[in-house]
Amino acid sequence: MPATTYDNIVEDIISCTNEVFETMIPMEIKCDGSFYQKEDMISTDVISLVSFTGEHSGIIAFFGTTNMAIKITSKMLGMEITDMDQDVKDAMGELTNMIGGNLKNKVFETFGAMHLSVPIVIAGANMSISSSSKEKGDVKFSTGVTCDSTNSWMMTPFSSEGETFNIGLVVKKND
Amino acid sequence: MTKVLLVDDSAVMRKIIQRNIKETGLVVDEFVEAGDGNQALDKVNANGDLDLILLDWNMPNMSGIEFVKTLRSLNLSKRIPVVMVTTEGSDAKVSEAKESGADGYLTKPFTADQLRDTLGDYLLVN
Repeated sequence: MPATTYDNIVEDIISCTNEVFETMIPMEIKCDGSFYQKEDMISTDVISLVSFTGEHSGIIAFFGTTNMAIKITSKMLGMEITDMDQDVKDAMGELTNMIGGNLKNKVFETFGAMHLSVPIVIAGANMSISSSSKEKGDVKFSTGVTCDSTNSWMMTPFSSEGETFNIGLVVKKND
Repeated sequence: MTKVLLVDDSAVMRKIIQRNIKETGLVVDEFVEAGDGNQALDKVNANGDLDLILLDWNMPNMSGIEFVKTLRSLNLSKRIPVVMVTTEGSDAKVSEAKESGADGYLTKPFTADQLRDTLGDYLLVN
């Protein structure tokens, strides 16, 4: 099996996300390629993020609409959820945790050992994120969540039943 | 009377595990829940008749690995089996968990069949 490189990590993100849905969320999703996006161009209702530290550090995150988060949670729990509640936030955290954990196990040979944080979920409406210090390359959420990256977010979009969500990644090799 | 302690900081994951256990025919009469290792120790002290503990690794306050080490240091009347249910899937983590006193290991994400196969060593199946 070839080692993961920066170039093919998108394939691992797709594989990890598909695996989480195939095993624990009975919902068909379709990947629609990938793209880089500057953080100040991101607008979303729900952000669920897990940060990682080690030889590399960064964040893997779910970005999606409230409707998509509710739909995924309903499928995870096997019951109808109608509102953005604690279960939805919890489910989005667990979703990102499983995708991040799975990815960590896949990219171990290239990125080295990593420690994952517990998930942080932020829910609102049309939220944006922005850099606090472009020169230093810090990425800072409006809520104060920070990581170090000089890169744009690498976004991998997925769609299901007319709704979309993105799995985003920023990663940096530590000196 | 089979009693299982679910330790995970995600209430949704505790619900999913309960649903999968019921759907796959594993026999559990009562679930006890805890959101971190500290709460789990309280539940162990309050429930001396636990038959199995399902344990997440990464949790706030006290992690799963700290919990299992503490549990194994206690002078309990019986040895309660512990199965880790976690996203930590490396061989090193599995070894660390088993050396710390965990008996079984299941990596998230898991299918209902994988859960049944892993827990079938500790629970009756209808």
